[in-house]
Amino acid sequence: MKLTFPHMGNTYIALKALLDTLQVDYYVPPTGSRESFELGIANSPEFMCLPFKKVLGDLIQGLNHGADTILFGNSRGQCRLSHYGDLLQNILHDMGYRFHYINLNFRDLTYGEIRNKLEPLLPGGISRARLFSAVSSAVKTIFAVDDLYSEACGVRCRECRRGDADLAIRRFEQRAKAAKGFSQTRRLIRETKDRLAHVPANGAADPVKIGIIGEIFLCSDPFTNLELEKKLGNMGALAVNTMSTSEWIRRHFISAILPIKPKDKAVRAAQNYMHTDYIGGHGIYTIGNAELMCRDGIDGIIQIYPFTCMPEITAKSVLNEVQLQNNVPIMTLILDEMTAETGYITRLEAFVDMLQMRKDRVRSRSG
Amino acid sequence: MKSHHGAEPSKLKVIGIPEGLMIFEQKQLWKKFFESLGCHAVCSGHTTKRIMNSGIELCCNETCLPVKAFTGHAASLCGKADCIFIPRYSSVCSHEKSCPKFCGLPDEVRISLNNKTKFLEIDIDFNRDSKKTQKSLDLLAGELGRSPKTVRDAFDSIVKPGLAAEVSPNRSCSYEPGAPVLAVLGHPYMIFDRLLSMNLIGKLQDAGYRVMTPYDVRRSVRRKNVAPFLSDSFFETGLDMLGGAQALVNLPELAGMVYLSSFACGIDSLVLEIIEHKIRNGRRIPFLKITIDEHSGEAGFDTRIEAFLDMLPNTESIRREKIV
Repeated sequence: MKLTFPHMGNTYIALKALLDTLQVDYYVPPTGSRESFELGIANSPEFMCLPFKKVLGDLIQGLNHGADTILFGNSRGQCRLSHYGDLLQNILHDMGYRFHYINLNFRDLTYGEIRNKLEPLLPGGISRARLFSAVSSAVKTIFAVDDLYSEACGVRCRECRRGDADLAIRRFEQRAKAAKGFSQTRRLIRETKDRLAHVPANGAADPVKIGIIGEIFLCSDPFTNLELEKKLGNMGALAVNTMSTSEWIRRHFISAILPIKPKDKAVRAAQNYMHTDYIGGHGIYTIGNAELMCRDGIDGIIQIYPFTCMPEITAKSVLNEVQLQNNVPIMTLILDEMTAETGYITRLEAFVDMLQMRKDRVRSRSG
Repeated sequence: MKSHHGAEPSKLKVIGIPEGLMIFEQKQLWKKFFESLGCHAVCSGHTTKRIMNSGIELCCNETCLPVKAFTGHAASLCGKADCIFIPRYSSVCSHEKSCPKFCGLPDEVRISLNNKTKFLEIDIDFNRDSKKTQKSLDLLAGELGRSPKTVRDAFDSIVKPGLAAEVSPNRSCSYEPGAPVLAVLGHPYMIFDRLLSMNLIGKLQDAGYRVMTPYDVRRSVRRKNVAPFLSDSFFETGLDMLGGAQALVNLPELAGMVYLSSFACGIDSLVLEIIEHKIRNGRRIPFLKITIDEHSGEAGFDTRIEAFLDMLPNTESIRREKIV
């Protein structure tokens, strides 16, 4: 048995360490591969959303490289993710692949759910305690990796020599692919953090702060969002990403375990605009996070989502109101496989320049 | 306040009902509901060019054609009614869900219309939380100046049984035995709306076909015909399409299927793929999918339909055989 799974940002680092620990044979599809993306696009329905096409491409690559088991799942929400599983299986079967599909419930990803689905894969069986500790380590690693990337955002916009932070992250990604198990991965994260801390920074820099909101796959996947965080950082802007894999874990793993569900701050903040707590996917958090960031003082916000994403279109229709009420510019970027990088960069540059000018004007007035 | 209502002591209101999206099928229910509460209900009527254009102007441009039409319907009611009623359809029964755009529709329209008028809403979310409906009904009762119990009773007796009606109000009444059948699939507020569908059904009927839609099949049959899926719920219109297509595909007189979809419809992207997968692996009947948005020209649309009809094999002989 050989397992494969699709990419979502940097989740593979934690997942790889988890599968190493459980001693499961696996194949990681190439990261940032245009080839797998093209495979996905060619075999997907035209109007299906970008994440689906990316996921399909990764799985085809996996199956081409000898994998016979797919680890993915489905959600329970109002977004199309709930039906990825059905469609993926249909399409892959039509293409002639034969495989076993492990269907995790992403919405309530409890320990019990993970145990039920993973146990059959482990020929020797595994004690509850060991699985529990391995899954906990994976969760911790996801948080640590996301933390590392957001730290890199903070360094990138202030570094004296452009490219220092990028270099540290690139080296991290290269070595993470070869790392085995949690301890090696954790050491690597520590070393990279250390390296980032020693990047010479311009202490006087006061970068514009740009919040990133929108669809979670695009927000957290640098390949599909055309390295949004990196691009903004290299333009001298501090990117604050509200949607990352750890955010998913917090909402659908940790809160699934908690006996009492805490009221969500973002959902409450969104009530000014949407009188409901759910509009599918993470749409309500898009609105809520935009409102919260405006209150905390942010220079600008970028909403990013794949073309035809239903929850985000609903969210977008009220973001104009958020923008007017708070006097904070919000730009929407809609991506699909036809998006050209140059046009994308131009839009980002124009947005960052505009925010910089706004900021300078306010400063010169108050100073 | 209109003069003929002036004599009434209660907070009687003229309620505007936009005839689009899910209300397209259920306007009679809501009309009866409000009339039973002593209100006067005004419907926005058929979609017109004017309604369509004002909707396109008001909406955020990424949203789909039917939502734009709906916003146009709502805008056309401003000034004609004291308030506009927009139900929040999240799910009409358990294990079914609506398009996410319906969940935010009341807010979306309110903001698009710049809070120009008052809005009434009812939460319908029977899959996740049916208590929400009760709460929103109580709020509505306060707005209308009625007792919560009257409003709840009216909802339970008039609206609730019709939300997931066994027989659709849009079923076709004509039945000519023998004529070759074309199945038209698509969301009810698309295919039965003459303007949005560019009179697709009429055009196919004029060409001598009997048109059947999933809404000619009873709801329970539509549900029974859906193959099992992984998630615990599915899109309501998606189920109608999947089950309807499965029921219709076995008709011996079936000559072809036409799927009318609005540009960038999320649900259709999914459902179409499943239906096509079925047709590829089952009875291979001619299948045409047409995607339209506000920029679609009618001439190009007609050409595609004509080309499809010309391509259908032997329908002429089928028709002759049946008549003889």
